[in-house]
Amino acid sequence: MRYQKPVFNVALRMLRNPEDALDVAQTTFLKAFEHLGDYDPAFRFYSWLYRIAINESLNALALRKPSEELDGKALDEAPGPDRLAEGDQALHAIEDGLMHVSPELRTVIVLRHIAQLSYQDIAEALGLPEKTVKSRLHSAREQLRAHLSRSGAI
Amino acid sequence: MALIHAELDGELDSARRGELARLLLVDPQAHALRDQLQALCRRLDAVRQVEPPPQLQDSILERLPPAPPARVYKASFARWRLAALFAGVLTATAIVYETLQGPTPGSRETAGTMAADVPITVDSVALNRAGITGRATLYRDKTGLGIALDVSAAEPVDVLIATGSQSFRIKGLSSPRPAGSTHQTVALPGVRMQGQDIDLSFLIGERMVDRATLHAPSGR
Repeated sequence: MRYQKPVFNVALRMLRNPEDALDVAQTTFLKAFEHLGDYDPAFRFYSWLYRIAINESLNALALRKPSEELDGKALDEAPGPDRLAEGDQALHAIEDGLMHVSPELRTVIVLRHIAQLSYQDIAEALGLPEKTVKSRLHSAREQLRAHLSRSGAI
Repeated sequence: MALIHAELDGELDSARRGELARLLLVDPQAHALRDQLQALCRRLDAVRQVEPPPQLQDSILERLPPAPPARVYKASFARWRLAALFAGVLTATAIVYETLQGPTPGSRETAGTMAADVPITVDSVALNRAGITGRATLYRDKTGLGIALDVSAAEPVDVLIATGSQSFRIKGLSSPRPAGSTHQTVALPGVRMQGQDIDLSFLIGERMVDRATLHAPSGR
């Protein structure tokens, strides 16, 4: 189960809710097991696993009400910014900012900066050309920067 | 903007890095933007991976379909064992057959021969020297010309076949049995030898013990 941690973390940063992330990680591994016969060895195994995790995360997000999607406090039980240490405040700001980026763009930012995948791996995981991945990542960073700048976090 | 993102991804060569530096000098807005994006990427990369809850592994294992691994292994092992046994028997049968019958044409050649009409002898020469007896026959069948060698020898015989620019060697004709006890045949269908003499040299332990020449007529 060497992929437990990265898969769980991808789901966590996509959903910002540990319980939902746990469900998604669990479903990811069960689906991977169930469809192991469909796995194409031409691709990296973890790319395939991340693809399932991302799809499951997007499905979970689609089931959420719009208000839930942006309401960080409703989704995690972390203390408010006033009670957080400096490092935690930065993390909280990033987590909050990620939830203000559209899920499609959040996906690339999570795979690139949280899962530390290369453009090629992201392209493989999402079934997109590398050029599209780059362009989405640039837009995602810009959206996140703009949000953090407005909120005075950077 | 593309230059700034390329820098963030460590993809700038020295020329483009210079271009970005010049741009940042003259455009304070771009400079501020780049600083903010750099800070953002540093923060994103610093997000620590959290340990998944311990119940994740348990919940996955609990929900996996019940497939008793021992039985799967045993069934799979039994299948492999049966396949290995079958392969072993097949190999042993082939070895025994080859030992008793000597080298035979390959399956493709056999198929050709079986499909052909009765082969027509084109030329034939008897072999009758000390240590080696038999006959070399040039024949024609549906697949073309071929050479049949019926050889008896006390020791393994190599046959060197030379025609025009082609030459090839057949190794180990006849098994080391008492002379006259076995006959071995090797067919070589499909070899292009029309209108040429075919020289056969019979060697035992690299020593030539006999020679023969077969003549292949022109045309089919």
